[in-house]
Amino acid sequence: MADIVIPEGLWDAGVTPEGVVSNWFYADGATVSKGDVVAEIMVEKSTFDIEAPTDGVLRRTIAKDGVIRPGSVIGAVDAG
Amino acid sequence: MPAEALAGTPLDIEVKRFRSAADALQGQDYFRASPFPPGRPALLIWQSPRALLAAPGDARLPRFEAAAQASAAAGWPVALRRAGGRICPVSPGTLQLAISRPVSSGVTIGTAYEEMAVLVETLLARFGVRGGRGPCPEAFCPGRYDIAVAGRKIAGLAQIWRRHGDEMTAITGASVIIDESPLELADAVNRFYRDMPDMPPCRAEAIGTLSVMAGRQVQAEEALEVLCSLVASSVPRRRASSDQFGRAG
Repeated sequence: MADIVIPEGLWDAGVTPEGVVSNWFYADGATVSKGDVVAEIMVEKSTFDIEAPTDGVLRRTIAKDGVIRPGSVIGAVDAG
Repeated sequence: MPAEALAGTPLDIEVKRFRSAADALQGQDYFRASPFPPGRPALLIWQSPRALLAAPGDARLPRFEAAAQASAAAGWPVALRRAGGRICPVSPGTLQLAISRPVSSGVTIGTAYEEMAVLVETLLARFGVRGGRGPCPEAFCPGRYDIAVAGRKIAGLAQIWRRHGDEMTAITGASVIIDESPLELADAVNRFYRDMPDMPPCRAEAIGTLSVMAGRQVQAEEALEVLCSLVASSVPRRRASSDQFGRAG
């Protein structure tokens, strides 16, 4: 199982503590490929594509509109 | 990598007038028809006919479709962008800038915003106008990197990180108001949010233009030439242009 992690240091959490998962582009349980853009997060007016780290089945752990911080795990890909 | 170092890295320049803001956003956010390969730092400067650029949050509002139809009927079609906080009006009186840099070069959110903010502030300074940064809550799409003059928002910034080919790329956009009616911009924004009472009104008095702040009419073409001169390096880089901005390249 490969975690989908919001990169540490992606933004200055001292200035903006939190972001949100603004969209999931695949359903929970969907088959995804490495590099597929599976989600989008927003921090203030900035948007980031979040990619699947490996091939497998997507498991979403933070729902749309869920709050995230640098280092948050928003889901995982089960390589099976 | 410090913003100053990034800012000194030459940018290839593309200038383009699009037939619609929707087409422009395909070029800006998805690199459609980009003349530059992935990984090449570039500045896209564009214009379009009047339009409202809706942010992702706008698209999730309950009355978004009805608001978009009403705006289009009033001459302000709505195009959906991938970044930003709220509606941003664009027109032939505004200039849209987008700097794209590969993240592998050491870009961070902060350095990318800093680079664009410095570019816009330097542009303003060439016309004798001094801008300051900070949210303009009574203007459209307020954000931490708003650039204002005498309390009037003259530019706003937003950012997207997405893949261009094999390169994760940071795209930092700015909308700069060159020569436009603040009242018409505010009216367009307020018309969109008319049936959404939770949205604060946009005040024309909170919107500024380079022409007014510079004390003389500034045409978009003049601002464009100044922008291009600011980013040109000692070694000329490729510049692609089309339509009324210049010779095809």
